[in-house]
Amino acid sequence: MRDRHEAAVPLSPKAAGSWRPGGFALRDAWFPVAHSSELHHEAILRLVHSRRYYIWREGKDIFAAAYHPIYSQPVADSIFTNERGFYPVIERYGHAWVWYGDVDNADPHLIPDIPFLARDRAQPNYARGVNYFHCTYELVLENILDLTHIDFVHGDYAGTSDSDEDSIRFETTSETVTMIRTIKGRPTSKYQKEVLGVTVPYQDMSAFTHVFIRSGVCFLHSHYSHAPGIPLMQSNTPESQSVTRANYVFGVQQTENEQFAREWPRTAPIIAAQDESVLRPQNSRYYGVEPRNDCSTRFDAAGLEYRKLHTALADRQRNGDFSYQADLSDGSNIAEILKIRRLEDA
Amino acid sequence: MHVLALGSEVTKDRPIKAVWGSDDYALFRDQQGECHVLADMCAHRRAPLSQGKITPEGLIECPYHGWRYDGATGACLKIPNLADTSPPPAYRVRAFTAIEQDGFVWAQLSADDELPEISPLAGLAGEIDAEGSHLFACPAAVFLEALTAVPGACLTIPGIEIIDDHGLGDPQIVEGIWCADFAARPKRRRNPGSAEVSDFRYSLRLQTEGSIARVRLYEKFACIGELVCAIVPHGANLTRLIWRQCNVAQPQQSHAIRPRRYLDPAPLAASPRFSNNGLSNGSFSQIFESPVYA
Repeated sequence: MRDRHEAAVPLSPKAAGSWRPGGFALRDAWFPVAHSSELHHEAILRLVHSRRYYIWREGKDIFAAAYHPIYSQPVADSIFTNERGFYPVIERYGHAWVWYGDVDNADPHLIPDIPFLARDRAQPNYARGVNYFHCTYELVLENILDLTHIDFVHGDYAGTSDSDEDSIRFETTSETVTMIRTIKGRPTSKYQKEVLGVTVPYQDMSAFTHVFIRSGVCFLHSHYSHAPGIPLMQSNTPESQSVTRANYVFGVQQTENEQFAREWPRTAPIIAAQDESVLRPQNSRYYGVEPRNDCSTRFDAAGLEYRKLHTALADRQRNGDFSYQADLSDGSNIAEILKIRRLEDA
Repeated sequence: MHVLALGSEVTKDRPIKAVWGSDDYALFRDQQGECHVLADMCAHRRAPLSQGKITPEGLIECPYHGWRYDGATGACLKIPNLADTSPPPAYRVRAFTAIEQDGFVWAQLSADDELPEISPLAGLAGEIDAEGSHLFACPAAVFLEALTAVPGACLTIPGIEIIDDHGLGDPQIVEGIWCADFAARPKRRRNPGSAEVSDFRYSLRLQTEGSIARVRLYEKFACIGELVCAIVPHGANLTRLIWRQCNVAQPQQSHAIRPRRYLDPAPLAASPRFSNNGLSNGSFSQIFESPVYA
C-alpha cells in the first residue's frame, strides 16, 4: 500500500533541512545505462557512481565487465562483480540494465515493470535519446518531482501558472515517490496551440511523476482534457557527482496522433537544456558547501519527501542493510500509477 | 566597498551576474532606476537569480519557480504558486548596500569591510572615452603584481612603448596610495646599442589602492590619457578587470590606454622584478591586500 499525502508542508526553512545531495551512493539496484541500439561487438563505457561498466554484445547475449574485454586485464576487485570481473546485466525494455551493488543480491524481479515499453524490443529511433545534466542525480529527481518549475522553465510547452485550481498530492513507498498534480482551467500552451492545433483556451490536466530513489529511474505522464499525452521513461543514471546521464524513451504507442508521436520526442533535448540551465548552477551550491536550509512551500512536498526517503535509505545502507522492504511491489505498477494502458492492451 | 560592475552594465531589462572572490551576486535596476545587489542564490532551491527577470513592479524573479524578491531588502514578496499567501519574513536572500559612483557599481559585501569606502582613484579626470570588462586567466593577486611591476604586460597604448624596467624613481606609498612612475617612449624599431634619449617624452604613473588602480599617461608632464580599473577576483584563479578610460587632452594622435586581452608573457619573463627577485618575495596575496613596495 502506498502512503498517500496531501501536500501541506509548513512554510519553514527547517522543513527542507540541510540537504546535501551527492553525498552517498545508494546501491543494490538495476540501472538502465544504455539503449539496446548502442550495444555492439565493440565495448562501450558506462558509469554508475563513477564505477566503470564496459558493455558489449556477443551474438544475442550482452556482457558487462569492470574491465575492457580487449585492452585491459580482468579484475575482480569487489563484491560488485563475480570472480571473473563481470557485472550482472540484463537486456530488457530496449535497455541494458546493469546491477550496481552486491552481485549476490542481483534479482531480476527488481527491474520495474514498464507497461508502455515492449519487454523484448526497443522503441523506434525517433522515440529515444540521451541528455546530460551537469549535477548530481538527486537534484535531477527533485527537479522532476517539482512540477511547479514547469511554469517558469518550460512555459512554452506547458502553459503558464494561471489556473482556477491547482493541487498536488504525493504517494510514497520506501523505494519510490509519486507526485500527482491536478490543475483545472490551465491556459493551453503555445506548443499545443501551434503544433497540435488545440483551439480551446483552457484545459484540465493531471500530471504524474514517479521516481525510483535508488536508481533514479523515473516515469512521467500528463493527461490533458483536450490534448494528447505520451509517457516518458528517463534513466537519470548517476555517473558522478557532477554528471547525470538521462537516457530517455517515449511510449509513443500511447497516442493515436502520429504527428504528435513523431514531433513530441524532438522537444526532449530542448526541455533538457532548459532544465540544465538551472540544474548546472544549482549543483555547486549544494555539493561540497556548508549545510544550509532551503525555504519551501507546500508545492515542494513531494521533493521534501524524496529527500527524507533518500536520507532514510542512505542511513539504512550505512548500517549495512541493503534489503528491499515489503512495500516494494506497491511502487512498481507503473500502469496504475501513470493511469495508462499496457502496450499489449493497446 | 568593492566594485562589482560598470553602472552601464546594470539595466532595468534583465539582471546580470557579478562575482567577487567565490561569491556570486545578482545586480539589477528597479523601475526607479535604483541599482540593487543581492546574493545570487534563490532562498528556495538555490537557483541563480541573475538568470531570472525583472518584473514590471521592479522585483527580481527567480528563473526556476518565479519567487520574487525586493532589491532593497532581499525579502521574498511573492511566490506565484501561492498567490493567496504572503511569504514568511524569513524567506529572503541577502541584500547588500550598493552605491553608484564614478561609473562603477560599488557594494558593501561584508559588515567588516576593511577596504576604503570608495577609492579616490576611481574618478576619471576627463570625459569617458571607453569602458569595458574582461577576464584574465590568473589570480587577482598575480594580475595586480603584474600591473604594478610590469605594466607593459597588462596595458597597451597605440604608438607608445612602456619601458617596464625603467622606473622613474622607486615606488612610494603616499597617504595610503601606492604609486610608481615608468618611462615611456614612441614605439619604433630600435637597434641594440643605439643612443638613448636623456629625457623621456612620455611617462606612465601607476597608482593603486586596494583593488582599484589608476594609470595616467603624461606627455612632458601634462596628463594626456587615463585608465581606471577595478581588479576583481573571479574565483581563486581568474581576474575580471573592469575598466574605464579617457583621453584627457586630445594630442595629435590618440594614445588611449587600454588593457591587453591577455597578459603578455614576454615582458613578464624579461622582468626581474616579476620573475626573479620579485618585490613580493612570492607572496602575491600580501601584495594584493596591502601593497608595500617602498
